[in-house]
Amino acid sequence: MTTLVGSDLGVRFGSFVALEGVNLELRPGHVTGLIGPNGSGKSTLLHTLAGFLKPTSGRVELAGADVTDWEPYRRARCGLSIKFQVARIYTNMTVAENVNLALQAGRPVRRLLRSADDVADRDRVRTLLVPFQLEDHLDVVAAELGHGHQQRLELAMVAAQDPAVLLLDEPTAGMSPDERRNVGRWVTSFADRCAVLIVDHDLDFVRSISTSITVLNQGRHVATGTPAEIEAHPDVRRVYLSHV
Amino acid sequence: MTIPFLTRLPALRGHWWRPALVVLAVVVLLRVLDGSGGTFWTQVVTRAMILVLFAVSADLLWGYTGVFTLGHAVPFGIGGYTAGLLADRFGWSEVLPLAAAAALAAAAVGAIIGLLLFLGRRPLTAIAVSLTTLAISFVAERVAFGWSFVGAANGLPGLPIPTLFGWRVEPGVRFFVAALGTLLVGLFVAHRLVGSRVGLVMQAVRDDDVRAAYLGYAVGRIRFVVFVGSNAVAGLAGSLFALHEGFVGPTQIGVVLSTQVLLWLVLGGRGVLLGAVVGVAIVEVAGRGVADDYPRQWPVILGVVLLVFVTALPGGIVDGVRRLRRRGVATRSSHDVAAASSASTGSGMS
Repeated sequence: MTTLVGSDLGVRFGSFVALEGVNLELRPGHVTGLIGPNGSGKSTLLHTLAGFLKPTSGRVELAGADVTDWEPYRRARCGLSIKFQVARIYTNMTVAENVNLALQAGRPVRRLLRSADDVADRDRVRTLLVPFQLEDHLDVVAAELGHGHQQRLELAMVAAQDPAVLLLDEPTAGMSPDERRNVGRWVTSFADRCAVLIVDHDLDFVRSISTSITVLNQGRHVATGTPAEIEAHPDVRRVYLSHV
Repeated sequence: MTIPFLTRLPALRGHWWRPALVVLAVVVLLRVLDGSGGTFWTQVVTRAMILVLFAVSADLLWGYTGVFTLGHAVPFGIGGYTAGLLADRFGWSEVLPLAAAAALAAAAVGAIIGLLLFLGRRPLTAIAVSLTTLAISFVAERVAFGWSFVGAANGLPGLPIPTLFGWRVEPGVRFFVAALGTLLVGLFVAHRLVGSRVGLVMQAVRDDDVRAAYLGYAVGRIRFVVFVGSNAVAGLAGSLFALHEGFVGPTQIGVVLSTQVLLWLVLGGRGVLLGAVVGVAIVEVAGRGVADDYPRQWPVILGVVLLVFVTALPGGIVDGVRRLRRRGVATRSSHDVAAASSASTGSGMS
């Protein structure tokens, strides 16, 4: 079953064509890498799928429903989750509060009127933080975390949403090689449960975790295939060689 | 000098400002209830308590949810006019139905305005919300000035003294007790709300509405609900204010009061309930003497104080005190660490 489909997507900013006629399908159990040179339209495509940008043509379907005109919160409630390039976390809240915000979304107001210090979810939050090695930082204010820790906290938040579709915009930006490997392991394990789209400049990283890769150039689709197929694809080679 | 039994009382333990507040409250209470305190201070403090309730409603909206409204006097004035009209024209005297009707009227108008501000196909930007509410406040004041049904420029003077279950609530000690009770209930409810997970969501919407939306929160609806709730509380405060003063007029719905409530929050601190109490206490109680002695200079003094706070202490007094305390704790901790390390060095040497 396909979870997220972008069909014939186009985005224009005035006369500038940022995206034209792009098709993309994300399936559960698959990690799709999205690569391309700077300005190729990767982030535009990701933001269009997320609902941050409205396409000027084409449509987006999520679990069979046309969500092209849906606001982000409705997409999120339907199982779409996003990790931004620059970590969007609540820096004046604690690690536990950040994860709690993700966990409790969609609960009835009656349950939300409980104290924010309620310990009932604390164990669940701690468990969620284990893959990101943040379980000992529950009560640390997020502003006091280092850059890599903040990126991991945002990943923990999207994991807490238990998404059906996960969009990752440069999830390893600013991380050490060890942290990158850990994130790669987590993405691979998480992909068993959902469809993942990952945009990253580190081609080795994308190649190592993706089941398929889509290449964009100047807002247009160039190729889609397995990492090996993409590596050998003449158009892809041309695109990347022309930017060297 | 220390009084041991006093330090064992729960209210006097913990944060240093708690005992200070309790002592201040006891002094005010004694002064207000004591005949020698006179009606003047009783009324000043009663008025201030009602305004704290008004400031708390603005804080829930601006300080906690990040909706910067420049027209918060509108629900306050609507509450005042509703209670005034019902008491003056329809002979209502019981304070509970009067206050309930005022809160409902303010909430209903808030719902209509909120619908335009937050639930439109294209929700307004933050600056557009501020300017729209400012314009609404300006229009409301002009309408109140010109509409004879609501007394035009004269307002509605000589409102009858309200009753509570048939018991006359006269301005003075009785109204003081009623206002104190309402304020305590209001503060308790607000405290529980902001300390709950709903409060966490409100702050999430304030700090990053895009992230909140991608977590699945309907940001527009949350802002709308808080706006309507905040309007209801402001309307309640407006009705009490009108009944206490025996008067409601255009100034209670206008631009000046709309900016004044923001001034209290800037001074005291927003996003913290104590900030509303501190801001109103400073301007409306402590500053009352200065305002009476120097009525012309008072607005200038307030303006300068506001400038100083916006530039030097944007978090307000409560935030400033917290920072000082944190710095004190950090300094003490570093001293403790230094002392411990020198002690261990000393023991190691011996």
